[in-house]
Amino acid sequence: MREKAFITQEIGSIQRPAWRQKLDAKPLPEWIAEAIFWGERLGVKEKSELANPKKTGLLQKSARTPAEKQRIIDIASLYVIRMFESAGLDRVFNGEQPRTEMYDFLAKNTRGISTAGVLNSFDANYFKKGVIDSAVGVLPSGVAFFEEEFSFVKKNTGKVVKPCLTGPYTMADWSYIEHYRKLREGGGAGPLDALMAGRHDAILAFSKDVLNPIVQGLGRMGASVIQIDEPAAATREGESEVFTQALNLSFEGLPGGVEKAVHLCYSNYSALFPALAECKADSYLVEFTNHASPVNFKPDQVSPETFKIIELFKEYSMDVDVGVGVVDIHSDLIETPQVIRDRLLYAAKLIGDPTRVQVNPDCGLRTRQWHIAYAKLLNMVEGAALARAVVGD
Amino acid sequence: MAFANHENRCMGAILAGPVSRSDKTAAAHRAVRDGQAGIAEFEKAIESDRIQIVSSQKNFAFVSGGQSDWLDIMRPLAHGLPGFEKRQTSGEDSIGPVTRWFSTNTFYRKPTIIGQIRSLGNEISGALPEIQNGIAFLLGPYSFCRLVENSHYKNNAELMGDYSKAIVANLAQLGRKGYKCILFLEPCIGYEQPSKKLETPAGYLEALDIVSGKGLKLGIHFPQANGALAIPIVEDARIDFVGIDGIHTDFSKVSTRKDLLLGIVDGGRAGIEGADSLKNEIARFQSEAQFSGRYYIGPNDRLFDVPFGIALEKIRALSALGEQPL
Repeated sequence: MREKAFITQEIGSIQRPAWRQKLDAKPLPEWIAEAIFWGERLGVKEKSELANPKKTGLLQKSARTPAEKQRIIDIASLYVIRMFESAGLDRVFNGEQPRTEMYDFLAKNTRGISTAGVLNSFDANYFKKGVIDSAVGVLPSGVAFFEEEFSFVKKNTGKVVKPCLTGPYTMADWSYIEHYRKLREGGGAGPLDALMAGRHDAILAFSKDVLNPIVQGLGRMGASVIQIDEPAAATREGESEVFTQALNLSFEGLPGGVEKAVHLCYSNYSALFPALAECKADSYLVEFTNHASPVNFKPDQVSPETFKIIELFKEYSMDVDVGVGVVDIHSDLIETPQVIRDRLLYAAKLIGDPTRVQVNPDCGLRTRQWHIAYAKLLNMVEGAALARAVVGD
Repeated sequence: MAFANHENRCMGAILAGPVSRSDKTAAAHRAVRDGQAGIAEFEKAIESDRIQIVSSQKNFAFVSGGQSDWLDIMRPLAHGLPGFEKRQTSGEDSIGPVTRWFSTNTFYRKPTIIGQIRSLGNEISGALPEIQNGIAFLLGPYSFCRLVENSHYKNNAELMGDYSKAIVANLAQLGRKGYKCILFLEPCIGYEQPSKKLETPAGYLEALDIVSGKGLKLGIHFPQANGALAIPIVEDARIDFVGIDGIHTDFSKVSTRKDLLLGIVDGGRAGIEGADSLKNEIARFQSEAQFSGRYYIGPNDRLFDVPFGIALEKIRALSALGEQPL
């Protein structure tokens, strides 16, 4: 049973404020001012734990204990939950505030991976890339972390909670898969065959032994929707079948009624078909808006590739919901509610049923400052309401 | 140079793209971003990286400083060349939106072209250090077209032509700074069409013609592509050599009259290739491919996707190969 047409949600990450990110540094006055500003704006009552007139706040101390640092992380999660609630989203999570980065964090909770070193992500942002030196498997502490993270959000909101996890294909693609390549090389495979077969082995191992135990745990905790993020999908030919197989393995064993969501972005979606038709996911949250105009929407000026995935879902008779990315996470320009409405109505027309259309940003909003992210989410919710009014929902 | 003794066919080693930054440089970079250090700290760390990269390239045919001060392969062009939009936003946002570099967990800023691309003669060369016998890595004309947002040109042939002319305008100063070779990187070919028949894009050979024969050697490298499919794109081009990704290439299908860059060191792998395995790959190529020309050896791709220490080890593995018979 769908909640309503055009349900709104974020994708995952929200930028971690400096006061959350640099727990070991002495907070600068501007970090404290930012925490107070957003605490007041979002109505976060715990803001006084961060800073208060008596100067006893966690950010006003010269040093913090591990428990105090954890409390700062929890409060950062509360800030984001309130941001999503006050923006009016139907589904919320924590903006990944307790996590470091989408790859790095899951890698740290996986046995068989060690850190190879630091690589540049973009501008002055870096991430730690892992090398798989033995068979991967989620650590028990990793499963516990995701369950506690979900539980924390559920306890602190009345909204639908949508946890997100980096998918098996992306985790394997972004790791050095040395262990799995060596196994294949040891079996006599040449360099390219060892690479490709090793990739398949690593992808399936991540799905079976890392993602699935976490997904199962979240299912037991009562999650009604679980999202797997696959930004690396669809970039290598010949891997759509293993990609689909990995998603199905990741979701295996979930009770009926739990929505199995997949996030895709910035990929050649056509390359996923026809294999994706065999995927058991219920919804696909896809980037549609990157580089489009923030102020107008003209269907005749839309690249045919942009909405092609909807045609492919129909062509392969896939009974799925489509989360339409209606705000560009790569730009500070704020999409108007009207253009968001028009994008949604266009997607609804293509799909043929507005209740099958969900609403989301193109991807996680961590690339944008909070005031930009919040403004985009506010307009996204307003645009969805305008679209709902048009279709009479 | 030691490599020259190898039946006079191996011309030495070269890198195939930018190199990653050290942990120290990354820390300095973040400190600059966070207002805790000045840009001089970052520049000092970059210089230290550059010295290590250069000194690791013993027996190399052409030498690179790693271009690790370039925030991405497009950035100095987008910063400097007229024709690119300068957005009314602060900092690096003014270049363009953060955009994923193919399937990787790295990104670049995608600039928008709003006018004719042209050069005053020092935008590219000014972003490269003086280096003896140097090699400069630039996007090839096709990938350049695919990775920018084009709001000006009616067709890619025109855009590729003007891009090439802008590069040519920088060649004189590059020569004065010690550069002897330009390596065009064409990642889009491999990432977009890894197993299909590859067509030569309209206007591509003409764009290459504009740069070739202008005093610097010109090579085209196809990372992530099956070289057997990529080489025919430039078989008739007036270029000095073609780079193939030895990891993704079916050697038995390679047939070419061109000289090659044989990318046998895996830029997507953490493990360091041993001399024996590299020699085996060269021998396998020589026995399987229909090829009688000369070749460079190098990585299959940029060494930007392996940590700095690993990148240095891989460069040294190539250097060491020059000390022994192939």
